[in-house]
This record gives sequence, structure tokens and C-alpha cells, in this order.
Amino acid sequence: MSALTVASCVLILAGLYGVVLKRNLLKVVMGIEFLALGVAAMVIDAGVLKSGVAHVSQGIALIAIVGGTAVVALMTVTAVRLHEKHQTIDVREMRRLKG
Amino acid sequence: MDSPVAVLLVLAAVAGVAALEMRELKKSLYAAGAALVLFAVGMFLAGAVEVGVGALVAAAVLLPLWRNAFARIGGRDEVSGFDRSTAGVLAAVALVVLAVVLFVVLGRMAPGAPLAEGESAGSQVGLLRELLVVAAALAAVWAMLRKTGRRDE
Repeated sequence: MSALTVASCVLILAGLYGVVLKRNLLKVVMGIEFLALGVAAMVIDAGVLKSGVAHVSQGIALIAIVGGTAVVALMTVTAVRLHEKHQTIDVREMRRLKG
Repeated sequence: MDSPVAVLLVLAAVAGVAALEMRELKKSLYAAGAALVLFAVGMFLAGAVEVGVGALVAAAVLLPLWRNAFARIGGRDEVSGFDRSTAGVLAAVALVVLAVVLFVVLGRMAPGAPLAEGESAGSQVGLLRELLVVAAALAAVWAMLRKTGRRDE
């Protein structure tokens, strides 16, 4: 197991920590971004060659980052709107949401 | 090339956890920015220039957005304390167990890792690990059903 793999896992776990244990919705959203960065780093790790990084890995990692950023931006806006509606940012207080 | 990049990524993770833990949302924003920039520098060092540029663009998009969001919800995080309820403790324990399992499985699945005695090259995923995955999936289904049932309370 390379050092880059371990570092990617640490980044993913930092993101998961935010997603699972934080109650502030904006912190949860931040955790999702760190999770996406960790996944991108792991994809890069899988494509490391002697002469650099494979182009396919770079493309996939870039898609992961762009997709993650778009989702996080959308969720940030949704969190702000929820705060305006419910006057709280605590995920446990938002039980009134119904599909 | 591997070690400096790994160090930068670990530093990015530390900055990320700091961003999640800080009560002052402005400081939290700085820490998140540091995490994104450290990640981008690590990617540049690794030779993944496109990914580094992508991370910088993500930082340029997300940091002003988060700054605006923090300004709208107030400057302090009032709900950042650790959840001491049973569910919170269980979630923390589950995260630690997941971390341990992740590193154990990655150590076994990494290219060139030695095979265990009696294990063939095509079956590195053992029965115990499969059972863990099934248990995790069932726990997720149970948690969702429980949450769904509580919505009407």
C-alpha cells in the first residue's frame, strides 16, 4: 500500500467524519467536498506511472472534482434556503421535511 | 514523488478536520481554503496538472459561496458540539470501525501484497469482508426505515 493510498484514505475519512458526525448542514456539505477530493486523489493514485499520471486517471479525477463541486454548491444553496425556512441549520431539527 | 504528495494530502485532511471543528465560521472558511489549496499543490507535485487546476477552480467557486452562506446563517456554529446521544456514539464507533476495516482491506488488496496461506489470487475478498459489507448495508436500510418511521412524529 503506497503512501498516497493511505493519504487518500485519510482525506476520505476526514470527509466521512463531517458527513456522519456533524450536525451543522454546512459542515456536512464541507465534508462531502473533502470526500470528493479524497476520491479524486485515490483515482490519481491508481493511475500513477513512472513518467507521471495516466491521462485517463486525470480525466476521471477531474470529473469527480467537478461533479462534487457542483453537488456541494447546490447543497450549500439548499442549506441556506432551509435555514431561512426553518431558522435552524441543525440536521436533527429538520424532521418536518417530507418528500 | 509519492511522499511529499502524501504529506500534503494528509495536511489537507488535517485542515479539513480543523475546518469542520472550528466554531468561528470565518476561521472554518480559511481552514477549508487551506485544505483545497494544499490538495491542489499536491496534485501539481504528483504531475496531475488538470486535477490541480480543477481543485483551484473548485476553491474559487466554493469559498465565496461558503462565505456568503456563513454570512447568512450567522458568524458562529452553534451546533458543532459532539452528539453524546446513543446514535451519535454509535455513529462515531461505526466511523472508527470503518477506518480500521478500510486500512486492513486496502493493505490486503494493494498490488503486490502477499497472499494469505491457502488464499488464491482470484479470491482476495474473503467471506468475512463480504459479511461486513452485507451487515453495513442492512444497518443502512434499518437506519433509513427507522428515520422514515419517525418523520410523522
